[in-house]
Amino acid sequence: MSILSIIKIIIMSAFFTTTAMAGEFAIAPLVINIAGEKNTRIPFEFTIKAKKPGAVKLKIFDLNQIETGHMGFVEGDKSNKDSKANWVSIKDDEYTIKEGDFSVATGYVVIPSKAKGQHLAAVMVEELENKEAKNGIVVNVRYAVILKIDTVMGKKAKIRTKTNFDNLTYRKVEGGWEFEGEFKNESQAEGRLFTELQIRNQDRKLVGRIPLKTLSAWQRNEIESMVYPGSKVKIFGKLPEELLEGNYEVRIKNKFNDRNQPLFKEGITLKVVEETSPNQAAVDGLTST
Amino acid sequence: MNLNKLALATVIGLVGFNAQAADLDSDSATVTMSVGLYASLTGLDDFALSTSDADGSAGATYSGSDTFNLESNGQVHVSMVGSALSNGADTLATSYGLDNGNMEFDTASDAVHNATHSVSASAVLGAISAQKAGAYSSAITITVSSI
Repeated sequence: MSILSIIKIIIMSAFFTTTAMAGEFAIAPLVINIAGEKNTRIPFEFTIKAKKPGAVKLKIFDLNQIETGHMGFVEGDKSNKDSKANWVSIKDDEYTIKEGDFSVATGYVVIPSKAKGQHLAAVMVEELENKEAKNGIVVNVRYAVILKIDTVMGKKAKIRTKTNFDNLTYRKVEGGWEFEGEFKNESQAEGRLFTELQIRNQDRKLVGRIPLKTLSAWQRNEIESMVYPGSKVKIFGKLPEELLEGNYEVRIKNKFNDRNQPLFKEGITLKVVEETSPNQAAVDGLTST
Repeated sequence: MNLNKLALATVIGLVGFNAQAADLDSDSATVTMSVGLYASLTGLDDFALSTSDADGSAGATYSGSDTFNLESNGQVHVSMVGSALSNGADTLATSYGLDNGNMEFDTASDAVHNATHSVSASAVLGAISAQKAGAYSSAITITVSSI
């Protein structure tokens, strides 16, 4: 066998034995607080460690809080003036990392002069791999590095708190009654929401009180629900008592960042119409330990 | 009398010196350290669906799953989105789930986490002629975030 043939075999073997191994990464930190002067570059950095070799691509994403309290991610669009892609820059948007090695991704945020309040953006770290499955499920894993951008530089006290609670609904569920309403944070700062529902009978006697929280807060087993600027969330809770049908008064007490909000009062008539609670099904068994 | 005064002044001076020396020798400081939220999801690969029904028969259910390890030093949120299995213009209604069938979960608050989880997918065929034979594929994206 000639040397040329041996080289050919080696080259061909290399082609057939090369496997497309997926990279595996660890990211830290997943949250970065950004604060600084407007119209200046405020730097940030985070670490990408490769547990298996691979390459990642970084993209800027906008965040929007959905009604469950969870966050939705939408790729940033510079043509949209509201997109944080216009605020956030990353130095290099691709990194190739060897096994056990790490890279430090760097970038900066420029807060526009007219910006107010608190804002969120994310740098999404996604494996850079041309995955095209011909049969079955292709799995992509990505990590969202959240940038919490504070434009007020310690002047939080001056931010006006404005919230609204509305659209109270209730339904009979197994073992009690479920109440649900909508809470909107109309202020420019995020906040922790603690809501208590009180229900009184026709004699004004308190017959029950329960917390109302977002699905996210129930799943996380947190006392308060986080509500981001401009977001509207659904908060709910189950009163585990078999109240008789009839007229009642419901009071909703909201505390937002420990400040009492306007009291919501509504007279209701409880009537049994058996329904399945979509909320309870979502809460049950979701928290993973 | 003068000697007494001198002795008293000397004692006061020594005490004062010792107090100053003590001040110089020791000090206190608050040491703080902040550890960032860290997360890593490993062991997850692409996977195929298979059926225990007759392959291609009407109503045949195809399913498959894989497991992964999630390690973090604090609470993280894991969510998933997925598209329907498709083969050209033909698509199949596809359902996905993490662990117990939901599309998201949170690890416990104020706690580290290091556990195995699963991701699963299933699809059901329609009538025999409702979809053409061939290879169907789709993609899912799993997002790890702090909120």
